[in-house]
Amino acid sequence: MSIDPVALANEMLEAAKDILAGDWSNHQGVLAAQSAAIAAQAVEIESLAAQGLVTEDNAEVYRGMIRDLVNGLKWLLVGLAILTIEKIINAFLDILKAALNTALGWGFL
Amino acid sequence: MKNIGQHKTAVWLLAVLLLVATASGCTVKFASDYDEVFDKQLASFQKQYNDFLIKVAVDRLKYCDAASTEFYDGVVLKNMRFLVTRAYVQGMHTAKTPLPKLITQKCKPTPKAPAKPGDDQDKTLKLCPLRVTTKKDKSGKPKGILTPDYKAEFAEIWKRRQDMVFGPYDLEVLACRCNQSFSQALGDALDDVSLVTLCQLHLLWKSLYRLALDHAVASANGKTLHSRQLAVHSRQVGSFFQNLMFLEKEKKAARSIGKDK
Repeated sequence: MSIDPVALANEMLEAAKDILAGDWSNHQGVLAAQSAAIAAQAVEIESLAAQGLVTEDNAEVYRGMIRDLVNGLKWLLVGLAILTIEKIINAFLDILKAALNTALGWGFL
Repeated sequence: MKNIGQHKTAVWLLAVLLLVATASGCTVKFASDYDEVFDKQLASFQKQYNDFLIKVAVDRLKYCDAASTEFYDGVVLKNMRFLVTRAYVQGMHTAKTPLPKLITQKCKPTPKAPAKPGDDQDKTLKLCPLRVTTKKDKSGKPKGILTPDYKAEFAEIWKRRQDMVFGPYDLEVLACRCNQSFSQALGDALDDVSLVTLCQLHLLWKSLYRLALDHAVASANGKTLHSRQLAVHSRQVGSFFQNLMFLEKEKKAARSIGKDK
């Protein structure tokens, strides 16, 4: 049985779509929580400034905090993206393995 | 045209192979002996750290000190980057002592600091958090010393907290989790995700460092941090902690799928 490249590519694409959709559904909770934390931190800083606790003298402390929070979100997204890529690549390999092994009739991969 | 097609296929195949190798977290281990360069760097790190602690006195602390992460970024982070890069290239278990233990042993901030009864050294973060201890010199003048034994200091902050967003985790747990994540990040599977974990850990340490320093500034001025300031700090710590936990959970789940197969 010969490999149909279009069907194979579509199967891989569908697998990737499923993984992306599943991961997005799984990750949106933590992304929402982190976005809320950044927003809450902004509100807190506003409140501290109103009380005179954030001034030009100490503003850099709080600026640094916001920078770090955004960086934290960035690294979280990078880590999750790497894991998603791993899953997609593994799914691709599984599909390729099944297709090639079936076509060749022996354990090629 | 055929040649171009073959060339494209080869490049594509190479790219896929590289992606697979990177994404699957391939690590190369070397069974080499003790890494002298690594050890020297740790010794140098130890010295820089001690010099910093000696240099910083409580009467010099101002808000600009709390804002500045010059020492943290310039010394701690630079050294951490070196150690991680070195470990990446050289293999993780070049030394007889596991790497995380080496770092915590070598980076003991104050060699003369008396160990507290019941202190579990393995559970104590030694690199970042600082604590102000006031002692009197020979003339009777108060002298402030910063020490990284943060447990007592943070426990006090925690006691005073009023509206902590970051509630259920106590410091002991946090310290344990930090060390665990660090050990894992520098453990067997040093890969891209581990490096991301290290970045998160760096931010977590930085937030602890900033909290300790901010608190030290307030103490030096005879004040305590306002509850809302503590809330800001605590949310900061909590946020990185949550990121670490979530990444760790996701990594475990993703990798266990691979193992099942």
